[in-house]
Amino acid sequence: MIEIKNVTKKYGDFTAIENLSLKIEESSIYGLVGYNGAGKTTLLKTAIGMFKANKGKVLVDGENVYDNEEIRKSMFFVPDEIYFLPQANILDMSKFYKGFYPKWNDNIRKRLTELFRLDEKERIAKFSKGMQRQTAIILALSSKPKYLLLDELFDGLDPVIRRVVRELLIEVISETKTTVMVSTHNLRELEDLCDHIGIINNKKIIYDNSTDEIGNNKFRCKVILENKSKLEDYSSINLRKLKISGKIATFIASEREEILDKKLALINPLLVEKVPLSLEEVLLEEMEVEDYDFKGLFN
Amino acid sequence: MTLKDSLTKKNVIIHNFKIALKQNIVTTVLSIITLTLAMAIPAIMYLRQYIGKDAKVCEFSDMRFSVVYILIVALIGIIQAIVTFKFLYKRSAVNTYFSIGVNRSTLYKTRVLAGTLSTFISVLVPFIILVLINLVFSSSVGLVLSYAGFLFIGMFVTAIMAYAITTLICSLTYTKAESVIYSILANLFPTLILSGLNGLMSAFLWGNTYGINNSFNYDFHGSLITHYTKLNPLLFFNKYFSNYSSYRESMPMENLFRAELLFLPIIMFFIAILIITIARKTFIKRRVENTGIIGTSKILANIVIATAMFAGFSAFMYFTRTGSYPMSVETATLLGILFTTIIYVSFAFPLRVVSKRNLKGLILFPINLIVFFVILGIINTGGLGYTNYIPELESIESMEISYRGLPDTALFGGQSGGIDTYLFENNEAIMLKDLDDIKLAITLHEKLISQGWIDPKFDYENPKEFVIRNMTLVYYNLKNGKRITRLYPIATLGLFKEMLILDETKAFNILFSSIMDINEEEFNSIATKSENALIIVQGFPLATGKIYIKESLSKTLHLIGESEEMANEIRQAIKIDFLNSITNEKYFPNEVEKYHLYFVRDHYNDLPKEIIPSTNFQIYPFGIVTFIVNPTYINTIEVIEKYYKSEGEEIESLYIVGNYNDPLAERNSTEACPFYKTGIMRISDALSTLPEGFIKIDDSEKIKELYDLTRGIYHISDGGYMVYAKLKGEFYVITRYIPRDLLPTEFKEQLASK
Repeated sequence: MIEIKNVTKKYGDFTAIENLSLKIEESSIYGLVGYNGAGKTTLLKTAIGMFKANKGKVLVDGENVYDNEEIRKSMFFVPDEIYFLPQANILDMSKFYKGFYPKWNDNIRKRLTELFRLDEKERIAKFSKGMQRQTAIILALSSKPKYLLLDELFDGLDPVIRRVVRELLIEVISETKTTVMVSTHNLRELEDLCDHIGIINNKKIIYDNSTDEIGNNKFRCKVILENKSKLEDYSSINLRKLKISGKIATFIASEREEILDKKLALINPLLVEKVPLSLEEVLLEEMEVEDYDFKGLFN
Repeated sequence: MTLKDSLTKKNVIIHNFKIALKQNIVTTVLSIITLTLAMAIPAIMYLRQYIGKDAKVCEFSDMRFSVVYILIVALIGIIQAIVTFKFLYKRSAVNTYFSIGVNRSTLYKTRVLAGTLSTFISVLVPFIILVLINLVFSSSVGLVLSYAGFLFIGMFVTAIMAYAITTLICSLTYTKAESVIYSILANLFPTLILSGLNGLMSAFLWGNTYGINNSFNYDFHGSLITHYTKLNPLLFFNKYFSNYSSYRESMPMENLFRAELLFLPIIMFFIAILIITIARKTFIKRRVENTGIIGTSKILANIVIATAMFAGFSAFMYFTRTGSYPMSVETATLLGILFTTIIYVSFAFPLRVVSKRNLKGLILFPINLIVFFVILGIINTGGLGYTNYIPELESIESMEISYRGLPDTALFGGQSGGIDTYLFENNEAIMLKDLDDIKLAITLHEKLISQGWIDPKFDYENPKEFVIRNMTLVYYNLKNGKRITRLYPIATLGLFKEMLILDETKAFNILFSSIMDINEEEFNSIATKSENALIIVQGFPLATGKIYIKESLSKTLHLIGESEEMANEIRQAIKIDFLNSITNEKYFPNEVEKYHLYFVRDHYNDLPKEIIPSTNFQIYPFGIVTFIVNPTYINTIEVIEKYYKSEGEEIESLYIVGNYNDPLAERNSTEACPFYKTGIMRISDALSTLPEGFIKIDDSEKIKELYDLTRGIYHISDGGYMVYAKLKGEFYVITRYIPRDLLPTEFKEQLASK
């Protein structure tokens, strides 16, 4: 289990994450979502023990992870900027990682290389960005880590490979009980992949829930009353973006479905339309994305 | 930790070590090639003369370029360290190395070990090759191995020291550019600070003897850099490398290798280990999130920039104060500030110590300048008592002082400058042991001290206040074994003249007597025993040379001391006359001199028949000393006239050329003599190129009247007048001087109107 406890990380005067806490259960896939520069990479690098937190600590299996050699032998981090030795091929990189990861499995490496149809004797520098990311995934999975941290996992991967990777990760978890922490911008991929989602914004985790819960506690609602709608009618509901137009009211409710239904029943609606929010909508909603005004920009 | 864990950890260490070692291979190979070629080529060039001779020799490089070898080896250390830690500057590499299953301490230690081994191999292999080369030529395996072993240890420690310093810098920096710049400057740090201080001392510390260009073998302690070379991590082995990079059988025994010489390299090795240990701590605390961001090592950057500023500031101040066109202190200071600003701007902005958005760092610029000026102020006001220091009389065992009198001009031999020959400063100091002699010298030293720095000046209305560049040396040998040295590069003509009184010391009397009494057989044994051995040896033509005579108005030489008895008779007469004369009579006679005597060593007897005329003590190419016989030297004249009959030359016409000032006959400079672009020697045969406008006198009575006013070379120091005497029936001219006060007013007026 990865426990992030009240972690604050600063770059000079700039605070990247502040007093952030998070728990990632074993054998789960945790998806981390946030704006560019929200602190996803900082959180991952602190979680792997590369960065030292200014405050708080990261515990992995109950031990402080910072500069902890033993713990890190069971962790593999695939960063957004991937490093390969100069002029190295997959075999060279395998030798490189094999020395640091005691559970390294060449068989996995071979099979995955074939799966991704990569030439393991070709210099990696010649690979495309997507192929290099595939290589990193091969190396990561071959090391058989207990904890796998993946930054911008799907960057540069084509849709087919994305699907393969997604399935691979699911397979890994089911077979090896690996815990995966993944950050990405590709919300749709996360939705299908992760069993837990965290949204990082304004230096903090502002949303942390299982993917099952996402469809069960955020709804876009349209309510039609018999008489003209009033603000007081909806005061008991935890909602945002309420718009009233005569008898019709629209809003986004943050309530569990059964509770929401009960509260709506109290105002005797003629009609209720209730649609669960998608992950992307939840992200936009939680992060209060403002509307940008581009009018006249290119005149 | 279980056995399995332990084995895994060991494997990780070995694996990491191998990776690092592999990354240093190219650098190691290039280092081996460079160092081998640099050392082997000069060694083979030298050793090949011993082919088949079975000689006891060894040669490991060209000792003249020891600093170059030291720098090559240090550079190997620097490059190996940068290559070892280059991964620290690449974000992607940092992401990997700081997230894999190895902690920072192990990562650092294995890297350092690999880098150290690479450095070791880089230095070791060239020495092995050099040993093999030497064994081909040398008969002594032991000699070759002991020298090679010592040199290798010293050079390896030099490389490791550079490696350690660079490692520390690498652990503190976050970009490759910074690591390269800071590493080079950090390795040069003591050298730059010491040379900076020495530059300011040379330009502003009155009496300073550090960092003097030692072209006359002054017995000084070298520059601050050489003085503190044992404390300099870059150069500590330089002297040893120079001394022990070769061996000839003819070398004195003390140059043989001794085990105690290893003491300093061993100390330096432990210091290097200490630095590497400190670097480990900074490496562990490294903020990897700063990778690739320039300007995050602000403290280091400021130290380095301050060092570069100080070195630049002092170098600028040194050159503007001591160069060919010295500036005033005020101008030099203003330009120094400007120059230092340029250095600051060219470092501080690119290294992001200061940026448009962050101008806070600018505060360090004036702080640095204030520190520099405080240092400059301390130096310029006497270096915390250095300038004014004179040891207690009771503590002085002996004293040495140089001056522009006879010891400097006649006894010390001359310097040939190729076509021309000059009276040239040798600055051998005379050794004084008598208490009264020492007291007299201290009085003169006090005058030198109180005179202080003055700018060169030639005020023709006030010749005594001419300020002349000429080195005066003062040494105190104390009873406790210490030696105090002082050097004064400039003084007034008045003070130089005052110092001629040192001719009246007991030491000078004994010295001159002994030189004139020595015979050829005794010369070597006496010279080497004397405390003024060097002076005696350099005065050998006067002591043992054949004697030639030339009349003042003649160009022809005649051998006068044919037999040893005659020569000794002349020397004894000179000794009596010279030692009985008072200083002023010797150097500034009231009458025109009678004869010039030339003392010539046998092996230099190819003296030209038509020698360029001289006017007083004139030094000719080494081995010949001229001696001017003043009319007051009655005994000498009597002996000369016993053996030589005057031929009598007549002057056809006399040219009064104008002011000629060449204080102490030192420079022949256009500064001293604005009329002439060439030296006095060339002027003397330049009649055909005489410009018009000089005063020409044909009247024989007038010629005689004026000729009798002419005097020797010391008078030209007074801004007197140069006169050409053209001999009857000759194309040739004799150059003479009329002292400033003696030239009749009518001629002065005539000259002024031209």
